[in-house]
Amino acid sequence: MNRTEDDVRAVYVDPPGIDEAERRILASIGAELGPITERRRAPRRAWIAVAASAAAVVAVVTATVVVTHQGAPARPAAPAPIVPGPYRHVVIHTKQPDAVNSDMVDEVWTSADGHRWGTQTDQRRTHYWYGKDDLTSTRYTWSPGFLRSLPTDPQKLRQFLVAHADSSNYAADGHFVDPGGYVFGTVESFWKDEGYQYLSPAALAAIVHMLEATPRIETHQVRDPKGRSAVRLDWPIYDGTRHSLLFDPKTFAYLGSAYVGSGTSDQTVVEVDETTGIVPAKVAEEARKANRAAGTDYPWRPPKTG
Amino acid sequence: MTFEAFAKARVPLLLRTAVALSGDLGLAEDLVQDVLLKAHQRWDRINGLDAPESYVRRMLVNEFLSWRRKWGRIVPQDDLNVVDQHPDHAAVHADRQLLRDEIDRLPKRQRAVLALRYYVGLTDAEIAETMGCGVSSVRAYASRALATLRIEPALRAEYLVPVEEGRSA
Repeated sequence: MNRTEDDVRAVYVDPPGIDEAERRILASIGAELGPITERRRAPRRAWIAVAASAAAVVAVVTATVVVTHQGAPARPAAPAPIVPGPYRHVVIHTKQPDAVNSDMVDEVWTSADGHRWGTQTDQRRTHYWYGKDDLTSTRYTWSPGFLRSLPTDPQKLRQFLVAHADSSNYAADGHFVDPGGYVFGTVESFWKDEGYQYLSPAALAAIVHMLEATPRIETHQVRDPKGRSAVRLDWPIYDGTRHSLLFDPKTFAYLGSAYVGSGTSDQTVVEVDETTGIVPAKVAEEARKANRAAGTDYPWRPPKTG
Repeated sequence: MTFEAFAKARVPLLLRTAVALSGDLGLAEDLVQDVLLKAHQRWDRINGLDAPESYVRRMLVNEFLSWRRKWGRIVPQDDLNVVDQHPDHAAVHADRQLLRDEIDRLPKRQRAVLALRYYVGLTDAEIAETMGCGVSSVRAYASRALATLRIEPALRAEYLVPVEEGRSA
């Protein structure tokens, strides 16, 4: 199968019913174009009522999230092996002021053989999910097999990452364009794609040392949003806009990331990173239901619960 | 410009962008409604910007990236099923649907880059600004997505050499 970029462009065509959807949206904000002949979907909600109650909902749910995690155990002093116990339990809190779901908590339990049970709590509700990672895959830079194969020597790690860069990173004369931006962006994607639970402590240390030695990347000793001592590695973009990755200065455990830009920002904090012997029974049950309802082909395997 | 006038002018493209991002009309409709609700609450500030439409598009992409529902948890398959080639028109349509399905299985940031590049027609710098990431990240996401879709599969093995740091931009 010979595919080109034109094939990708051809994929983006209007689906049936888009005109009706357009009218429904405009009608809901008082800018209706014409009579609505069909309502395929139920009205979402009363526009004004939602606007009026949004602040209250945010306040209630945010309070719930805080209470939920007040009793959560602190991150262990020493970095955990990749998945040493029955399950690796991670809680990640993301704040995106410019998104509607501006405050979100992800909680994931990962087994040593790649089964994952998770929740995601936003302003509206908690979603449950289940998935299975192929631990042998090395196809992508964020796949478990690739992450587990990372060299633990900083220089070799850099060479390894560059060796897996594709041709778009090379100029016509054959030189590698923007190597600093490439390694920072690649490392950043390990976390953006939720793959970091497969990074060993030694690989984490190599990542930090590699980034510290990369031109244009700035190193700062800071405290993270939870008050923990952290090494913050910045990739400056322009006019004060930057991406940051935060690590524990002693264990190199990943603590979170941040983006500071003109008019927008986001912040991710790893609040809990520990090993545990069980997955909460409610998570397992709701994830099983969600897996079944979604019709995925993941082979469900019940975790140890409690 | 009033919020209503802005919405009337921009909803068609916002909705189509949301469809390109999500691959699902129902989800796209929800995304646009939620973003317009947020924009309505901030309209005084947004209306004062040089390019309100760019700001609202960024809100839309942020909203899409933050929506990790259960159907968004589908992990991309390592080895995608490759259909046999059939040189007829039905096969062309089937190939397009297959490609759409494969795009929908990509990680969301990769899907967003493809939609913004190949549907909206933004430059990599504009995509970086929209997604709140660096241009290098945009290119990394795009190249990985295209490689997964077997559009840019070749790795440049001849460049498996240490990077010369002095060439850093």
